[in-house]
Amino acid sequence: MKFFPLVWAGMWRKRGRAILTLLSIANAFLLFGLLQGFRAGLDSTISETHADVLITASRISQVEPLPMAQLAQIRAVPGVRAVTPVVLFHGTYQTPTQFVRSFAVDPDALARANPQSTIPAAQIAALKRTRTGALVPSTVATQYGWKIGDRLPLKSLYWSNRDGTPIWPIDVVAIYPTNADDLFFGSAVLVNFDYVDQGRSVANGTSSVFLVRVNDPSKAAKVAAAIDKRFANSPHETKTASERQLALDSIKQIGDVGLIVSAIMGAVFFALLLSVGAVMMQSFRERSHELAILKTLGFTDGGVLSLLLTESLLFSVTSAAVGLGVATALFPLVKRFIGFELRAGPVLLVGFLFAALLALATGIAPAIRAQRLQIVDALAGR
Amino acid sequence: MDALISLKNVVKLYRRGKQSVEVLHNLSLEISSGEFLALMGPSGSGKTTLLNLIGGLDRPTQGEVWVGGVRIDKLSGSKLAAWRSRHVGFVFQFYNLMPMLSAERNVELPLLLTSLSTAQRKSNVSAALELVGLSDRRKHKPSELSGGQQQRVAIARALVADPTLLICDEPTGDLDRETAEEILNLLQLLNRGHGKTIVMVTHDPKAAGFAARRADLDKGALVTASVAA
Repeated sequence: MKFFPLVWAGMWRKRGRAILTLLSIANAFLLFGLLQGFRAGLDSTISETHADVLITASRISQVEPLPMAQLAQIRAVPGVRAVTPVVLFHGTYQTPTQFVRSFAVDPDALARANPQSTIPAAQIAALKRTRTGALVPSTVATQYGWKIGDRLPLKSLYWSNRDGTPIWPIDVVAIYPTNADDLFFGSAVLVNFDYVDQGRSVANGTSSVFLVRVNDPSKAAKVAAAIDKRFANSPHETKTASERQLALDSIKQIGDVGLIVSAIMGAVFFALLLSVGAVMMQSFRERSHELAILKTLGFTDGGVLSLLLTESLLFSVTSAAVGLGVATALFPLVKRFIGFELRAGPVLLVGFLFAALLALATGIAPAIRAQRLQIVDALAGR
Repeated sequence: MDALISLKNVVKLYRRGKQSVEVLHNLSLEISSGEFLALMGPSGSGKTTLLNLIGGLDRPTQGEVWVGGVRIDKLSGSKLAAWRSRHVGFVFQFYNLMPMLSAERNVELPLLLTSLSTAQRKSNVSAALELVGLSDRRKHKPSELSGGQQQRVAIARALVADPTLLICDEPTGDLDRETAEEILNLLQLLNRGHGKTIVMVTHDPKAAGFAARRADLDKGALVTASVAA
């Protein structure tokens, strides 16, 4: 600790250059923090999906409806604990940009089939009592200023009402706390299946997908295969997969996120390595006289090497702390804009590890040169 | 008086590319403990090279360098560094202070290599700064001090670990006459009042006059060694 003032002063020897270098490193770690936070958020979301929940959709396409007659047949498959129809009912509120994520569900069946649901029973009962009722997540209610008792026009993206318009009046019967752990339903407006199914002009008696809960998560794959086998060679063949598999498939559609993040960060850190390395060498050349003075006073070759490496480490870690700190502070803001929760997870730990590696990679060459510095030559300016 | 420093048949060669230049030729010299010696001579005569050898900053090509009974030219790099930190204080023409550190932090540098506590280091630094008359400038950085004040800080740094030997390379070369005299008086005080052995390189005969003995070098050899007036 007694050497700290010397190390700290060395870091800020050229204040302007040090600040610019710090900002460039911090900027790279800000990007690192956000991208890794995004990746950690995806991994975390996937890991939080339940292995005992299956989703049965049409084998042809996920938007091809399945007949409700399949519901009973699925329920009869050994190992199935509960099953519920789910109709995609996404829409917009007053303007096309006011997107509302919504599903039409059987309230009782959903409560049984969805293990992540935290909606109170009284609110489920309220939805059942009101045919045009809607359960609204607290975040959506806050976003649009909805309150219990409001009657609202929801413009469906998929279904026309019997009057030929896509406008569906809904009544807010309860506002439930948004549940981030429930990936599919925890932040969606839930309406009655019967209201939508009987009110729509086409595809009556069908469901977009069936949500299936199994008794034993370890046998989920076997149950999924049994369901699909039951409808094999029928007009409505199915494809049943776990919630986790569907989440993975959705993510795959945007590419290998891990590879993309790694490629971007690789390029950023390579550029950083070159630029910071050049700055460190420049700094060493400017300080060779001062380092020779330290050696004159009795600092050993190893001592000077340690001083420079410590300085490089402290600078890099300080810069990384700034970047990662800003990134972490931005996580809630990012969630507000893209609706996806970034997670710090091991990001900070990995970030500081990278900072240490960066310090070592950029600091080792000047530190070794400082170690080998001949006092007499350096004092003479040779 | 006993010889604190003894150089025996010292030769120093420098290699510059394919050429080698002999800077010191079979030089022998003894400096007593508590002596104030001025080394004089024209540029290129080997004064600074000799000073570097005495201070353990460089090693002779041939010969022996003994200081305080230790043959320092045979010490390993780390042992030589440790020896310098305990036994030698350095004062340079251009002060050689750390520009980013305050006066007191500069003076504290040699003490960082000791096992002294923070409080002891602070106390020693205060005493050294007081001795050179700069207690009120302790928080100032070198750029905020005059040349004479910077050289006083450098002297405080050289003294703070209480070394036996002070090595001064043109300590007044960058100062005006009045300030130079102040610095030389201070060195004389350290020699006479505190018993420090001082070896000082200078071009200035007036500065040499503050020393008790003067040695003249020319072309790498001692030409005269006399007691100053």
